[in-house]
Amino acid sequence: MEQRLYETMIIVDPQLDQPKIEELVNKIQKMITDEGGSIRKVEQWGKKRMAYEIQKKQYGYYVYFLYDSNGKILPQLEKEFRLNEFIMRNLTIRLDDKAARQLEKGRITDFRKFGGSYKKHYSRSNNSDRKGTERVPEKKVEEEADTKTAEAPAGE
Amino acid sequence: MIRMKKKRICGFCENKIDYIDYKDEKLLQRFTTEQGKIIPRRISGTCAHHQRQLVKAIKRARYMALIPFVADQSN
Repeated sequence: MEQRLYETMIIVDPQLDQPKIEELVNKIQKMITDEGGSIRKVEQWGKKRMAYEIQKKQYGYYVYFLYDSNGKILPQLEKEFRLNEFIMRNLTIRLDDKAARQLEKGRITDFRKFGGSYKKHYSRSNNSDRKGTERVPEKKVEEEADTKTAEAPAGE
Repeated sequence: MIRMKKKRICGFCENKIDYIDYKDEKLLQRFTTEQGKIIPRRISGTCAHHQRQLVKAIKRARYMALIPFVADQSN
């Protein structure tokens, strides 16, 4: 049976107590191995602040699985994720060889090769999009009137 | 005003990177603006191949709340 490399990440309710989380993680691992898969890596990132709130919560407990499997387990896993009310998000993807090799190499730590930050250059042009409060008040029309008409401005 | 930055070089091609991982939020955030928008290719200088991978990774990371959809709401 052909074994493919998969990666699953889930976000678990952070208010769940540790034993319950462990139980869930083990349950998932068991589901995978029972179907003939082999787990390469499990990472528990723990409570992490999320970029936006999900189900009114700011933090989520992240768990990551890297495993080989024939793929039959996937529908069952997804069902479990859907039904379990403590799993707030899930994402499963298949990794090809290129991806596997890249992951082995590890994260990029040296960003110098990417050049400077593009943010300064780009964001400036977008400022007009925002309705900022620091907009400069419009120049008074009086000044124009001064030059055009000869009347001395009596202070309008 | 459009500033061309790094016209020639794609950072990923230079470093011979095959796969852009959605989990690498530090890397991904370099390619999004302060508002959280994805920086276009003509600014960042990445090649078409890697830009497609990058966008896919960013969208996945957004879904998993690793990076925001919208940021810096100083309205």
